Parts: sequence; structure tokens; C-alpha cells
Amino acid sequence: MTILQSLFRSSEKTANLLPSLLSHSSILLKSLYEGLHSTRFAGKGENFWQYKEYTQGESVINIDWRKSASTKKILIKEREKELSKTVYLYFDRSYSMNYKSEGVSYNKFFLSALLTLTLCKLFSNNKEKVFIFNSDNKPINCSANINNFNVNFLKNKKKQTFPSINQFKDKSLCIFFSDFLFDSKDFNSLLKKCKKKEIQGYIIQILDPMEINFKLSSATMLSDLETNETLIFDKDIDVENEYIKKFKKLEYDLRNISSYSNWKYYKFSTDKDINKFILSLSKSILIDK
Amino acid sequence: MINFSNVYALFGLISLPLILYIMKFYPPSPKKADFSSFFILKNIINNNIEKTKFPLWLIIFRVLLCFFIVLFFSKPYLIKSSQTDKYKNFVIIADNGWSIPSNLENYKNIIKEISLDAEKNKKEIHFYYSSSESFKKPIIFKSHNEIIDFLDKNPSLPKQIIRESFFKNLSINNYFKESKVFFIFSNLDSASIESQIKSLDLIKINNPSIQIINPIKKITFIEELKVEKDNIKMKIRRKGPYINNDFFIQFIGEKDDLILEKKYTFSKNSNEFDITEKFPLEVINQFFLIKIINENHAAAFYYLDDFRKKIPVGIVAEENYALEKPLLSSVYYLKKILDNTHLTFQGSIKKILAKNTSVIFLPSYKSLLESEIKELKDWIYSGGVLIRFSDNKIIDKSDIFFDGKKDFISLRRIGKDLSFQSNLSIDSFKKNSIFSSLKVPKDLNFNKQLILDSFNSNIVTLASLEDQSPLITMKYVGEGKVILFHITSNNEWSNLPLSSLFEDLILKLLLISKTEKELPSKEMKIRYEINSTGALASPKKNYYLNFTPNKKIFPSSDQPAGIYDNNKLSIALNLSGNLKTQGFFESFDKEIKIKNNYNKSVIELKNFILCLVFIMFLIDMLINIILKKNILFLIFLKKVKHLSILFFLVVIIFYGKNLEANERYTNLFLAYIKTDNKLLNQIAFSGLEELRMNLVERTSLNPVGVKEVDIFEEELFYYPLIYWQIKNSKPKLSEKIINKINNYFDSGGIILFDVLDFSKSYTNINRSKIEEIKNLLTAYGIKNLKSIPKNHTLKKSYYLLNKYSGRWDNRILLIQNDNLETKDGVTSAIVGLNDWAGAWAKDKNQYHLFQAVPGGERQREISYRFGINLLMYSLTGNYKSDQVHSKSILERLKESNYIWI
Repeated sequence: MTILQSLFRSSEKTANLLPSLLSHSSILLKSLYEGLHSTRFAGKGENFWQYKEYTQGESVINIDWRKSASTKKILIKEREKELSKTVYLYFDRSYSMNYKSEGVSYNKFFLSALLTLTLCKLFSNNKEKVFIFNSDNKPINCSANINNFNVNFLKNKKKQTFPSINQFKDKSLCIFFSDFLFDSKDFNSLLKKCKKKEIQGYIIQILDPMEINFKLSSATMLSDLETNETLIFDKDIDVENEYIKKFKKLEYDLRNISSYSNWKYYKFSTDKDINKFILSLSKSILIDK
Repeated sequence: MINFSNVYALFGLISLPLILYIMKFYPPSPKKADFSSFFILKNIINNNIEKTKFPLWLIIFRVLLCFFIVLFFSKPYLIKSSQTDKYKNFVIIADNGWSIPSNLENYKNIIKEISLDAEKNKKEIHFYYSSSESFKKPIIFKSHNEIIDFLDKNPSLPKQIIRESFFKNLSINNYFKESKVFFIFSNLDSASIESQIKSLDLIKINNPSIQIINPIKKITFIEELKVEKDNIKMKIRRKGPYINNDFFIQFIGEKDDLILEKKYTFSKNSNEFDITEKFPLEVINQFFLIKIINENHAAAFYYLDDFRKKIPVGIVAEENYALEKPLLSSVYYLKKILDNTHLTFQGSIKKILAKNTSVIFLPSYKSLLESEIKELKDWIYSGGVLIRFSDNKIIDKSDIFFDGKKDFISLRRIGKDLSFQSNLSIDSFKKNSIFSSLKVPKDLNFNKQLILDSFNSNIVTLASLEDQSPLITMKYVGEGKVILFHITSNNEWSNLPLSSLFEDLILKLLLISKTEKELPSKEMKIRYEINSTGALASPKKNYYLNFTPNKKIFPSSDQPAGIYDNNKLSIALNLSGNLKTQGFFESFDKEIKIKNNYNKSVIELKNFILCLVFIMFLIDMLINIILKKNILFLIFLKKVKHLSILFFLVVIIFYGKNLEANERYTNLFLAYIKTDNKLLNQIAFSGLEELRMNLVERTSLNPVGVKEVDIFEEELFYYPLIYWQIKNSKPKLSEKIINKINNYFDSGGIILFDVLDFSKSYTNINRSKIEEIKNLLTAYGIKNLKSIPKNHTLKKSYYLLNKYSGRWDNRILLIQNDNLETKDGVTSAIVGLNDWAGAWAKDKNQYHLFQAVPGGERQREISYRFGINLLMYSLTGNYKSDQVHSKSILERLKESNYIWI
């Protein structure tokens, strides 16, 4: 009975979450457009964008000889970037993502869903094909209809799993939102496979400030949100320094695997300004594409 | 059987269940909080929730700990035997003599243990002092605290005691037989060995069950102390197992100031030590107290009185005086008395007065010159005491008392045909007289006597013959006194000088020099009492001392140890030196058993339980640490922090020199070589400092300061240019130093040698002088010196110069041309004669120290320019010789109207 009640309660919570998430996403997207307003990107597109002075190493094919002859400088024609690409968005739905320390407004789950949704809208508006993986790790096309992003997307998952490599198209773009506080073996193997398929991507580690700077003021009994395990920490024991060391090692490993796979790694602390973060992330994605 | 002193404390055991209940909730439950994932944390700590439960065995352990704490407060004890039941009371008879304070703690402890036993067995404690005569009224105590309180309030007596009368009481009735009796006995306290033996015998006969306990473990005391002239002789004895053979004696002044502290060492297997210390008389007179350190009983303290203080006295006699017939000599008897007791000088008046004597003896038949009489009179008027003797010649003299008044005197013959009395002796001394304590011997004879016909009230009679005719008289003269013996100082007129009374009379009269006007007429009253710990204390009662010189007075109840005085004179009655030590080191009757400790019949468990509680507490702490883990590691880490700070400090200290080197390395310094002549060093410093200022002002160079370099000790290679003032004498430089200079040159350094002795002779420098200079420089390892070429870079490195003036204006500048190829053509040694530092140096008022001769201020300006060029040259080498610069240099040189030099 109680399980049923708690289930109802949590689904109700999740249902309430969606409208707030959508509205937040719209606001975020608006500010994101404002931020991106003056940004144009050089790339391999058809449309001419600007002339640029030739520097050694650049392809000679791009030299505009006529223009160069008239200006006495060797100039290259730059074209606007071609944007059409398949984008996959994945965010971690494990219970650990529900964690929120004191003094922080949103939990990691909400913010990763928000970032996913906002990026989904951004890419959809740019006529990209956007897929969001649902809780069963099936890619749902959200580019045509944002309504595909529904309550079912917000359901927590007991066990953290990643979509299989077959779900991804070659040369597509993937963005993973997670806290990555788990064994990264599966993820590492996924990335290696992605490399083979020339899939580019971003690892966005969403973390609570408490997870970055672990600190206990007194003896505390902590319970794991994922496993419900408990641990007692005496304040005499110097866990904090040890935690920070291990945490840095984890971050270092993530950076390593992402650079190995030509992916990019970003870290976002939930107490920081999400506007700034999504702006810089979007700029980076749009330029890289 | 276990008993409890404080049974009520056992009610504390009721609290144990409560403690158990509290412990169940201990430790307090920790704060609960959620955390995202234990992925990282799990690797750090494996402590899980099960460990938060308090282990049962620990609960039991802690309850046990609480149980023992309660037990501790209930003061449990074990009674060994129940024999004490048959006794009515516990009786303690205790000695309270001088030796007790030395081992007071042990003494009190023995009494405390006995009282505790009595207390546990619920018996009364009856306490007596062995020196008391009555046994009828014991002091009764019910607890050990009361008796210890009593002992604290009643310190023992600083004297030896007689116990005999008390122990006679043992046989009177059954009181002592029905009681458990203890005798706290110190044989050092016995005033008489016979009495001590009697007392112990009385115990043996009447009540052999008395437990005799000796509380004295070890003691050191002054057995004897004598001040003989300028010597202090002491005999120190000790008893007991001393580990250390050393002991210290302190000599303390009247204002409690420590004059001397000295260490002495008993020889092995000896408990006696004789000390003889010689001091100047003035120092001895400053001594007020002599004491043994760390001994707090009256026999370790010796107070000095006026009697022990020696005064310088003089006897007027011929120098190098040899006695042919000593027994007839007028000086012999005086000398005999005074030599042993006081510091005596013998000789002419002049010699004696020069010694600042307090008393002068003028023996019979000593005639004085007019000048001597005058000196003597002056001395008496200013406060001296003259003791003079009569003789046959004195009748011719009128001014006997040296007061300028005529005295009419005559000679009286006693026992002759015309005399009334044939045999006269000295009349017994009056009670209020200075001699009151002296006894007149029977066999005294007087043949002749000096009679004062003009006897008046100014003359005080100190002693007289039986017919009341004066024997010793005294007259106040000015601020001094003249004492006249109406007999001779030898046995010519009387046999008094042969008797012991003569010595006593003389010694008493010497006291007059201390007492100003009044003689010590009354008995001496106690001023300070010497208490049981040897300190001076105000007396509780008035005691009087009947002082008899040459007779030993022992401190007693009528005359306790202390300092007695009569406002003018003080006498110290010490316990030390006045002890009857006869029985101190003798063994006792074998039948009498004397223990050193009291064997308790009750064992206190309190202390044992306290130890147990303490150990359990430590174990508990250890368990805590083990349960919590890592604590030790954390402490270690914290320690490592401190250690690292310490390590860095050490590193900084060790590498401080390197830091200094870094400073020289990174900053530009001007330097000069330190010479033996301080003035030259100062001139060099001031000169280079001025040059530095000019460099900062005129160029982009920014030297930080000037350094003095010791060629023998310090490194040279920090400095691009070194200025060295040398003299026209070859120095003795070791090969090591010459190598050091060459190495400096090889690493690109430049030294400017300024040969000072040639400086003035600027007009007379010829070839031979140059050779002399070259020869001199070989002592510095510099060979192959040549004159500077016309186009040398030094002439154009900053300013365009054609001479190198300093304080003088010699045109000679020698440079070393060796190994130029390895040094990029840059000269290393530059030798000149112009005393550049002299030209640059300024005094405190910013005036130049020396005139620049002959060119004046213009020459000085050139000297600065030379200095600047030189430093530029040392930093840039041949840079300015580059062809790039030649064009502009030539252009400047061509400017016809401009004269550069």
C-alpha cells in the first residue's frame, strides 16, 4: 500500500515537474538566443560568409584569386557552416541524480532534463534531427514535435545503463548529461565504439556542490540514494581530503577518455548560473559542428 | 576482611543501572542525511551501520569501570590481623627534639599510619611527647587528621631532650600495658646518653611490647664551628644513607644577602668533614648566618654574634721585637691572649693606626714620642679605645688619660712594712658590671698599684681591689675611651697577667670598643628565637641569658636557642656546635628492637583501586581509538605538518647563505677588497657609494649597493668589477688565493688595482717605477702588464676619455693582456696609481674627502667618468669597439668646439 502511495506521489511529482521544466526551458532558450545573436560560425556550408587572409597550411582551393589580385593580398573565401546533423541527447535518470544539497535550488536531474530540453529546442529550431533517449534507452525523435518529450522521459531508472551503439547514426553528435558517479567501464567502451563510428560528442558532468567539495560538520549517517546503503562518518576521520582526491581522479579519467575519443568534457555545478553554462556550451557545439 | 571507611559511598552502585541505560544510547545517533552515490566514499571507508551499535563487551567494561570508581569513594581497606582488639587504646609517645624537622614527613607519616590503624580498629589515640613529665593527661585524638593537624600546629623543639622522667611512669600502673604503645624515638634528640640508656632500659623492663620506631633516615648537621682570627673552622657530620656525597654551605649576611655558597664533598665511607675557610676580617664580620643547604633543622644553622666577630687590635711595641725573657716582657701576656682571638698588629703607633685598629694596647714601659702621643690623642678623640698599663716610669707623667688634664698619681706598695693589708685580691665584680659573670681566683697577689690622687667622677672604676682602690679605670676622652690598668702588663706588680682572669678581663674590655658608652650591665634578653627549622622567630616568652665566656652554654628550656642582646651587644646561642653528640653514632642494646618503619595492620585498597581505574580508563581510550580508527594516523599527519615547518626552517637556515648569494647574483653590486687598514676600507666604501649614485643618476645602470669582499673568505664571481687598493709592499697571498683571482679573471671579472703608494709622485713616474709596479703585481699572480693602448674600449665605453684621472692625475694605466682570446678581448686586470676612491669619496656632510690634484673639480668629474666607463666596460666588454658605433663616435670626436676632456 505504502509502495503504491509513494509511487503515485513520485509520479505526481514528476508530472508537476514537466510544466516547470518546459517554462524554464523556454526562458533559457530565449536568453540563449540573445546570447547567440551576434554569433556566426565559419564552416563548410554553401553560403559565402567572409574573406580571410591566407595563412600557411590552409587549403589552396579556397583562395579567391580574383579578390586577391584586386587587393594585393592572398584571400580565402570562408563559407557559413553547414548545420544539418543528427543530434542525440541523453540524460542520466538514476536516483543519484535526484540529489540536492542544502542551499541549492535544483537537483541534478531537473537541471540535466532542463539542459536536454533546451538543447533539443535549440537544435530543432535549427532544423536538426534531435533524438532524446527515453528511460528505456530508445531514441525518440523530438525535432518534429517537442511534445514527444513527455512525463515518461522524467521517470527515474533503478539502474544506470547507456544506449547501445546501434542506436546511434554514424557521424552524429551525442550529448551525455550525467553525474558519472558510477563505474565508467560501460561508458568507456561505448565511447570507444563511438570513435569508430566517428560520432562526436560532449560529456557534461552535472554535479552538486556537495559532491565537488565533500564536507561534514558533525558525525553523520549518510544514505545512498541509489542503493539505500548507509554509512556513518565520524567527523574525526579525515574523509574529506580523501574524497576530494578520489573525485579529482574520476574527473581526470573522464577528461582522458573524452579527449581520447575526440569528445569534449564539461563540468557543471548545480549552484552555478545555468544561463552562462548553456550559452558557452551551445557556442562550443555550434562552432565545432 | 574488606571493610569500608565510607560505606555510604556504596550507594553509588545503585546508579550503575542508570549508567548502563545511558550507555545503551551512547554514542548519540549521528545526523542523518542523503547523499547521491557512495561510489567514491565506499572506497574510502568501509564503516557500515552495524558498527554504530555499542558492543556489549564494551558496555560491561565501562560498567565495571564505574563500579570501581564507586568502590574508590567508599575507601575500602583490608585488616590483616584482629590482635588489636585486645588493646584498649593506641598510645603514641613521640620525641620532639631538634632532629625531627629534618625528617618531618617520615615522622608525620609514621604517626599517621598508626592513627589510621587505630581509627580503622575504632580505638582512641593517646598522644604524649616523650619530654613531658606527666602521663596523666594524654592528648586524645579520634582521627588521623586531628593528630596531623596537631603536629602541624606544634612544631618540635630546637633542643635536645631528657625522657627519663616520662618513662619512669611506665611501671606505675597498667595503663600502658593495656594499650598498644608506640615510641617514636630519635637518639639524636637525647640530651644525655645516660638518660637515653635509662629510658630504653625502663621500656625493656616494664613494657617490652612497645614498638620503637626511628623516624630519622638521614641528617647532616654542624657539630662544631669556631671563628679563629680570620679562619672559620667547621666540623660537619651526617648520618644515614646519603647517595650524594656533596653538600653546600651558605654564608649569609645580616640582610639575608648571600655572600658565599660553596660545595664540599664527604670522602667515601666518611661521615665527617672538617672545613677551614680563610676570609678577610671584614668579610667574616659581614657573616650573620652559616647554614647547610637542604637541611631544615636548627643544627644546620649557625648564627654569628658579636663575640664571634673579630676586631683588629694593636699592641704598641718595637718592630721585629724579640723576647729574650718572655715571661718578664710587658707585651708577652697581651700578645698571648690577643693572638688567638683577634687580628693583632704589633708595631709603632703609626703602623698600628694605619691598620684601622679599634683598640690599641699600650703595654708597660713603652715610651712614646711627642709626635706619637699627638697621633694617639687624635685617634682617641675620634673614637678609639686605648687600654694602657702602669709601670714605674708612669709617675713622671701627668697626662695619663691623654685628655690634656693633669693627673696626680702615686705608687702604692702593698704588703710592705707600712701597708695595712698584707694581701689584697680583687673585689668580686658588681652585678651590673661588664665583668659580672667572671669569678675571681683565690691566689691573686698584688705588690704595687697605681693610685690616682685626683680621682673624680669622670673616671669610671671597672674593677677594684678588696679595699676599693681602683684596679681598672676608664675615662671618656672625646668620642673615645682610655682604660687604665693600675698594674703592669707583666708580672712585675701582680700575678694577675698570669691568671686566666686576665684573659677574661681583656676580652671583656674589647667588647667596650663595640659598646659605645654603656657597658653590657644587664642580663641579655632574647630577641629572636631559633625555631625548629633553624629560622629566626619572635620569642613567645622573655628569656634571659647568663653569659659566661669560655663556658659552653647548651640551649635549654630556660635559655632556648636564639639571639640575645641588650641593645648594644648580641650573643647567639646556637644549637649547632652545642649538641651533645655522644650517643649519636653508638649502637643500642641488642634486646631493644628499633624499627625504621611502621608495619601497617590495615591495608588501604583505595590507591590500588585508583590505579586500576586509571589503567581501565587508558584501555578505554585505546579501545576508542581502535574503534574509530585512523586517529593515530591523523595525529601523525598533524605532527608531520609541524615537522614540515621545522624542516623548512632548517632548510632556510642552511640555505640562508645561498639566498644571500642569490641576492648578489640577481642584483648588481659594486665591490672592493677589504684591506687591513680600516680607513682605506671606509674611503673605498664611500668612494664606490658615490660612484654608485653617479651611475644611477647618469646611466641606466642601477647598482643596488656596495659590498666589502674578504679575498680570503668570500667568493668574487658575484661582482663584475672589483676595486682593490694595494700598497707598495708585496702581500703574502697563498697559491689558493692567486688561483681564486685568476679564476675570477677567467670567468670575466675585472679588478681595478689602485696602487696607493705611488700616487703622489705623479711627476716622477719613470720606467723603473713602472717595472717596480709590474713586479709588485706579480705577487697577485698578474703578469704581462702593458700600458693601455690609445684606442682601448675603456676610453669610449660610455664617455669619451683620453685620461684616467683620480685623486691624482697619472697618465699611466696598465692592463693585463694575457689570454685575451679566451676573454673576448676584454682586459681583466687594470692597474693604476690615481687613488680613484679618494677622488670619489665624500664625508658625512657630503663634502669630498680629498682634493683632486692638480686639476681640481674638473679632474674629479673625469674620475667619475672613468668609474662609469669602467663599470660599463666590465658589463659590456668590447661592445663599443664594434664598427657599428665607430661612425657616431667619430662624429662626436669631430665636433671641433667640444673638448671632451
